Amino acid sequence: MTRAIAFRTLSVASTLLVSSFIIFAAMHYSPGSSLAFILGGGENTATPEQIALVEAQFGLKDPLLLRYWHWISGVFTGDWGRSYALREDVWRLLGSRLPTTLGLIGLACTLSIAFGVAVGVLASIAGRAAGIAITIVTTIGFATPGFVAAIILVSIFAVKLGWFPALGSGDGFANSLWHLVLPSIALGLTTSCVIARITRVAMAAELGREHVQTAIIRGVPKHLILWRHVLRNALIPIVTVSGISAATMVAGTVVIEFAFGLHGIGTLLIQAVQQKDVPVVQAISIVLVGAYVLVNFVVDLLYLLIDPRVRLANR
Amino acid sequence: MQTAEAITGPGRLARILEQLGVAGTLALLLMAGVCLVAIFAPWIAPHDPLEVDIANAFGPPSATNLLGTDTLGRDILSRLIWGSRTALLGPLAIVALSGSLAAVIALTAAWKRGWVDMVISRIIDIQFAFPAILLALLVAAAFSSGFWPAVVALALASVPHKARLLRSEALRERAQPYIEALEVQGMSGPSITVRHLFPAVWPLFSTQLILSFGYATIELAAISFIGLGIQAPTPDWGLMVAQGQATLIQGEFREALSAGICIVAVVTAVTIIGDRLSHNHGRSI
Repeated sequence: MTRAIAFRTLSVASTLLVSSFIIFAAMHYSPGSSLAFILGGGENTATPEQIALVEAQFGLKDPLLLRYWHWISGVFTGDWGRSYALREDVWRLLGSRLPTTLGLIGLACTLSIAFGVAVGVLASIAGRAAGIAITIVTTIGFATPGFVAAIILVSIFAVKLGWFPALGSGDGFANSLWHLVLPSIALGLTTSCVIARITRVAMAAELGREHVQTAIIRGVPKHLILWRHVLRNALIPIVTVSGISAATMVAGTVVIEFAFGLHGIGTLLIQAVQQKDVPVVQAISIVLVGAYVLVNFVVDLLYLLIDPRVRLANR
Repeated sequence: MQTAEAITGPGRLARILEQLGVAGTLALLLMAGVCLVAIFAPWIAPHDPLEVDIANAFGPPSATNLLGTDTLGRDILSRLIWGSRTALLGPLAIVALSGSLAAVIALTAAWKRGWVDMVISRIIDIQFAFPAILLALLVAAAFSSGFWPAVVALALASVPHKARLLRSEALRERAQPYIEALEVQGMSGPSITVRHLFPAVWPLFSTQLILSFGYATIELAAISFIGLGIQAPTPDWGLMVAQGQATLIQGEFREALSAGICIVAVVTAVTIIGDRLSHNHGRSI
């Protein structure tokens, strides 16, 4: 058990290190010149002294490995460099943008798990017609990309009904949360459909098992059977799928933030990509890759802890 | 031999339709329809998709413009019809590229085993760390945005999923006695892999490719939506959702909504087909 955890920790650490190097090297060798951007298009008029100064200041002429070393040691000490475009400390920029993104992902996770499990349980105990209806809705919901869900939600709930704001992040806690409702539904839609399906399948499998059948015959109240014997055992696959879905939301947040004009790290990344703002692209990429890998790692560990079969089968 | 017959045999078609069921057959018909529309777009489209007519902007649905017109007075229906081309070709290119890469990588790992397999598996693990959208953004930042950079990035991002499944499947097949028998007979590794190992894993692999077409459609449309994929004025569904989104507040939802419905319809159809086919493998993909 300890060996399995140690092995996975080591593997995650090396994955993060290698991917940080890939991210850094890709941006290092990119054809667009950072120099041109820092000088604001004035590279033709800048004197050689000015160019040399900028190159020295940003370390543009240093070899790749040396620059990578500077960057990665900075990452560990909280010095993430300065944005070329916004002339601001990257660490501070991230700090101001992260709450929106975390709020969005957190709310999307909560809503999609609650909604998915509820629909899945309902589908497993509902009649045939209701079951088919739920299958159709979850199949289409699964195939609906977040940004398409976004325009549908906005045109109904923001434009037609005016219940929610269509764009922006809002200020203050309650108001910000209000602005996150539609985006988190759009972000969590696919996930909630996946969870609903998994819940339904797991519930059906548990409902057919011997101890559940016995309980039904003995006349144990139905809600008690569902809660104590069925849902609890069905939770293992549900937890796993929820975890994996949370990881995919880390990437999905970029598109959803853009669709709703939220000021999170996703929109910051798109902006930085368009402006070739290398330090910001590197920083956000490593944050997203890190979050994605860590969530997957935690799911792996949970799986290891919950299910003794996996625990015993693993090295 | 089995595969040659599998593609052409009439009995096979009937069996596939039986596996697909009613929903699957409808989905297949829908996809066939979209393919025809894409092929014959120049003849079907009532207007030039690029023809700007500012005076007729936001025109309501009429006899000449069945779905109305967009911000620049372009015919929405014609743009949808032309947009089916990138909507099919893009994901097709992604699936073909990532499928062939994954096949080469996974079959090499399964055949060689030992340290080659270990190195390849480690590379696959690292690639797993990059979500598709992020990889596409990185490629856009490092090189340029557009159709091909997005296609290559999304293809690379989807290699590890395919390679991982194919590798474990091929490893299982590799352990079968008939493969060893062929080896003893002196058949070379590459030809056993191409003639026996790959055909044996193809049914499962092809189903996975179909399912991945759906994901590729969503991802490519999303990249175009955020402005780093297919560029205006090319008619493209993802791009149309983005353009239509800008006028949503004014109540002009036709462009965004109709393009969104097209995307959802194609992805739903592909997912249903893939799901139905994957049931006979008895394993989740």
